[in-house]
Amino acid sequence: MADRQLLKIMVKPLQITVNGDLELILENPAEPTKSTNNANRAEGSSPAVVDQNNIKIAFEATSAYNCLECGKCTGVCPVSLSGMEFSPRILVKRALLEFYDELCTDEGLWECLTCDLCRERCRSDVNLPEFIRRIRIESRKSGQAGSISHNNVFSLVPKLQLKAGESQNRLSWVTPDIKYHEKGDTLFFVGCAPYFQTIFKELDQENVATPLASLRLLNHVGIEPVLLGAERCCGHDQFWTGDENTFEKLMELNIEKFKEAGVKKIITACPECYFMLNEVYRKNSDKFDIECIHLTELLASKLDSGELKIPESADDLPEEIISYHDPCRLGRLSNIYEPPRQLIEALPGLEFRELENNRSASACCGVNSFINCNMNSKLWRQSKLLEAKASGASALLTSCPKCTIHLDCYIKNESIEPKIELKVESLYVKFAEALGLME
Amino acid sequence: MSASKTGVPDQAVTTNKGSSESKSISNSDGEFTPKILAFACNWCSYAGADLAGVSRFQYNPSIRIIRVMCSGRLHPGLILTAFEKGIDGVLISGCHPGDCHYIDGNLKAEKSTDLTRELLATLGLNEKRLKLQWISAAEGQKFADTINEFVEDIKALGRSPAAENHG
Repeated sequence: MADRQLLKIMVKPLQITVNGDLELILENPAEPTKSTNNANRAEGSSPAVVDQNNIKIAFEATSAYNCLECGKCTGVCPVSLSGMEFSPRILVKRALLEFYDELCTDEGLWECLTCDLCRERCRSDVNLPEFIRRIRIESRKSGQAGSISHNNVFSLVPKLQLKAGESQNRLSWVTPDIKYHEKGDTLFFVGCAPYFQTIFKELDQENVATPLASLRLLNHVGIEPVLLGAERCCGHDQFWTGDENTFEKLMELNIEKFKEAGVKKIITACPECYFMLNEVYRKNSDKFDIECIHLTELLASKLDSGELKIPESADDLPEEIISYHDPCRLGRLSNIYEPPRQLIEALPGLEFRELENNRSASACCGVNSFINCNMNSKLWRQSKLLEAKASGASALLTSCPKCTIHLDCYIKNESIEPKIELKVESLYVKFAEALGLME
Repeated sequence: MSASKTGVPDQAVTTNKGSSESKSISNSDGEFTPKILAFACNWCSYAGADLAGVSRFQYNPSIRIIRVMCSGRLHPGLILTAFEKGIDGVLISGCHPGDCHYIDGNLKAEKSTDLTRELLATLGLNEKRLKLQWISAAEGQKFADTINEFVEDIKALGRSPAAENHG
């Protein structure tokens, strides 16, 4: 890691006492570190009580019994590498040994990025992020609040959306040139960009540019999608941070609206929404039988069939060197690596350079579900951006609106050192610009 | 699911509708009693509230005053928490620009309130439910008048849609 200052090196002292015979006392290295574990538990509150049956179900659902304790997960985990006392396999071990209190109050439980690098490397097919997600559910039930950032504003908007429904004014950013309908068989799922546009206005990120570009691209290839005025957050953050209640309500309400509009196919640009709709909704609701396609897949197939052609660049300017960040939810979690690259290769005037860690080895952008916005998160973003600089790129393209927010936030933060000269851009906006759709 | 029940935009709510849906918190006349939070900054506004009390200025008791050290403490997340918990109106009160004990905390409050109003509008809640008023320590009468006016405004808007019980 770039910054050694945050590496905490724990040294257990060797104690020697002399009392007649020489007695060597070694501090037991396997002792659970209680002092930090109870940091999150309120003073005087009782130890966490968990439903043992749910833990058993968690083991069975994630193959966690297969864990060989090889430590590959810890070796690749960004949380662990930044010096925090966190280890994915230790959580499995604690659950196995029924140390439920230490399990539920572990700080690292809420630092985990659910980036899937551990599952990628695990040779025993243990689905560690899913295991951690289920432990978060139990932890919440046992009274832990979890980690909260930015005064919880990001989880309050979906909660308020539950009751708001149709009375949301979430389509005011749609320009008159865009053709869409209230009912139809193809839906464009927008995501939370209209809300981020307000929340991040100081950062000047133009979050609605991504859905705008996406809609223009869809119109360009002849698709006039449905846009729902009562669309609610897909529930990604609620799902991953153990807020089952809110997630299920969001899912049910969304599916209800999909059915009302007659939707048979959903296109979305956001990898998180795509993962939620395609995998999680499908698995968790027997009412969801809608086909889901990611926008990069759709556009790549249009390029293949020749329906979509990119005009050659008219000017003779030197090629801009760009790189591409594989988001966790599109890459490791959804296995979509080549379509975004196809789109980039099709763009004129760009020289594409891969990051050193690309595709399934791509590092997480550093923030998950808005629950951690701390020094560690800034370190991970810094390392990602430095990786992009090392490739010689002047701009980093990403296909995830959330990754764009997080990486751009680092760049635009005036109080962070060192400053990194790099542009973070949305792949969709870049692509739409090449087609002259973003004038 | 009764999701369609909540489809009524806030702007369309009339006083009649408000009082019929909020029987549980009306007084003996059946009138709607709103739940309003008034955040008052320690150095100016809370002192102004104190002055109103000492001077015996009458103001509507439908509010709960919460003292904060500075109005700038009120992050959009906190204001939205209030609405999520069922509060009908939030009044934020701080020192006049230039007088903030922490130099520019009240300016941050202004930015936060503007941002939160935008979020409320996108969420279909009436922007009038969030008010920002500069009140100094000497303005006891102004404090009383602001409260009275705000309570009347919220009564006219009715119960917050975010507060109604959802199936």
